[in-house]
Amino acid sequence: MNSNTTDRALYGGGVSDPHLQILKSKCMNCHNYHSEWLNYTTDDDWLNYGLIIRGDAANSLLIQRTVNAGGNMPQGGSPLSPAEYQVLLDWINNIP
Amino acid sequence: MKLITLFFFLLFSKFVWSYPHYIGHGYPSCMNCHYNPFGGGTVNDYGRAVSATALSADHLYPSSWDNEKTAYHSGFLFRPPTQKWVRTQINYRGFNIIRNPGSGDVEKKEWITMQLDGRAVLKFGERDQLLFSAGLSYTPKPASPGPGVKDESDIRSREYYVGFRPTPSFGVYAGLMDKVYGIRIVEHIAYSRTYPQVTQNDQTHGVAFHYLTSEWEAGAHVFLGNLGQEEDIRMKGASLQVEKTFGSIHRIGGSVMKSENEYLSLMAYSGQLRMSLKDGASFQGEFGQVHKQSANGLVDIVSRYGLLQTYLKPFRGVYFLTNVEYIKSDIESEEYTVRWGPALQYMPIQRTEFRLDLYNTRNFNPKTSVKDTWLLLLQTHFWL
Repeated sequence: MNSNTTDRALYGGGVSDPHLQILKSKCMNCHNYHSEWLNYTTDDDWLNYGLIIRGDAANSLLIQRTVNAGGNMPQGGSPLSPAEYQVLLDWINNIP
Repeated sequence: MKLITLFFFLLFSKFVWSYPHYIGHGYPSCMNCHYNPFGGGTVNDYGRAVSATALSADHLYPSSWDNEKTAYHSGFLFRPPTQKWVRTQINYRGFNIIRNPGSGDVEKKEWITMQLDGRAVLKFGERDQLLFSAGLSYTPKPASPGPGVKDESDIRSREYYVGFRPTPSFGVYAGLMDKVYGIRIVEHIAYSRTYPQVTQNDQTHGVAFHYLTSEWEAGAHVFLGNLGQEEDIRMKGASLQVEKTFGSIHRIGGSVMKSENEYLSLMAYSGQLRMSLKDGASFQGEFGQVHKQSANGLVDIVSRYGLLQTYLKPFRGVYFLTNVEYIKSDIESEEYTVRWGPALQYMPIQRTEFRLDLYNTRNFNPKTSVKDTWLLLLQTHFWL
């Protein structure tokens, strides 16, 4: 494993979904080698792995771990801006 | 007897070189103890003798053993080499990592095999002018690997190269090697190694040039990425490093590196200082900046890092370390992180190292407070 093994998955192609842009630039830039997050390409993936709860952002682990919600993520990086945080809340709360 | 003669000749000769913090023992360059002039990889006969007689403690040896006897047994499998062509080495390094120790259900313990290497060097010439070096390593994958990681082999080579040194001051090395950049410390999770992407497995195929005098040491590296990877993710580029000796025993210098693949480009700069204090004690620091840009526009970020380390040697075989690291992952943000802590390194006998590190990571953010994280790291390292 080199530092750039996950570059294709992380930076390859355009990313149209705003929540995925934030997750890739603020979360998966570290959660790549030691986690499977880059394999999660659909909402169902995030739901199945228990990181989010459909329609319930406040109780979703992904949200609870952020600095914005009292956690300590992203560690060693810039915290999510209020606008970025809101994008993640809206995504989870509006998953059909 | 030849080995002992060589040992004492080198010990008292003017040009002696080694591991970054061993500048405190009078070795500003890595070349005296390693076949790779930039450090790492197989240790040469002199390096083995220094490790056995100056770095490791002597209280476990029989009282009849003096330094000559200890050096005599510092070769592979405790025997002096019977020929001059081949040198071999086996290394094992494991960590017991305890995250957030003493914090109940937040505490996590893990054993990691960090290094299991077999290495060999084939060398020719009175000064080892021509050498072939190769190694094979066991590199276990994480429990939940990311894409592209799952398919990688657990066995890989971190180094194989051919080196030619027509004069004592100049050499050229071609093959798979670590990138020539910054202070090559053993703590590969240090921000000074992760942000410029020069960590434990970031070796690259390329050609490196090495120049050494009593005043200057320089390296230039042109690389094509790791050819074991698919072409689109290979980081191709070049780097340059220069260090100047000052005050006879200290070093100051800098590095620059540019690398890119189809998705990411990286530009890194660093300034570095290594100072020999007294009797094994040393200070080293590196400050640098990394500009990372992704081709899809998702990332365009400049990060700044710092590293300060002090080594004190209260007595032979024991080092007390302090490690302070700084990272501002986005220089436009007000937030930064400091990771710091003490460590104790104990080498009770040659070929054996135990090390205890405590790391505290603290995030400084003017808008919110973030809980500190703690890491206790117990390391064992054995080599033959």
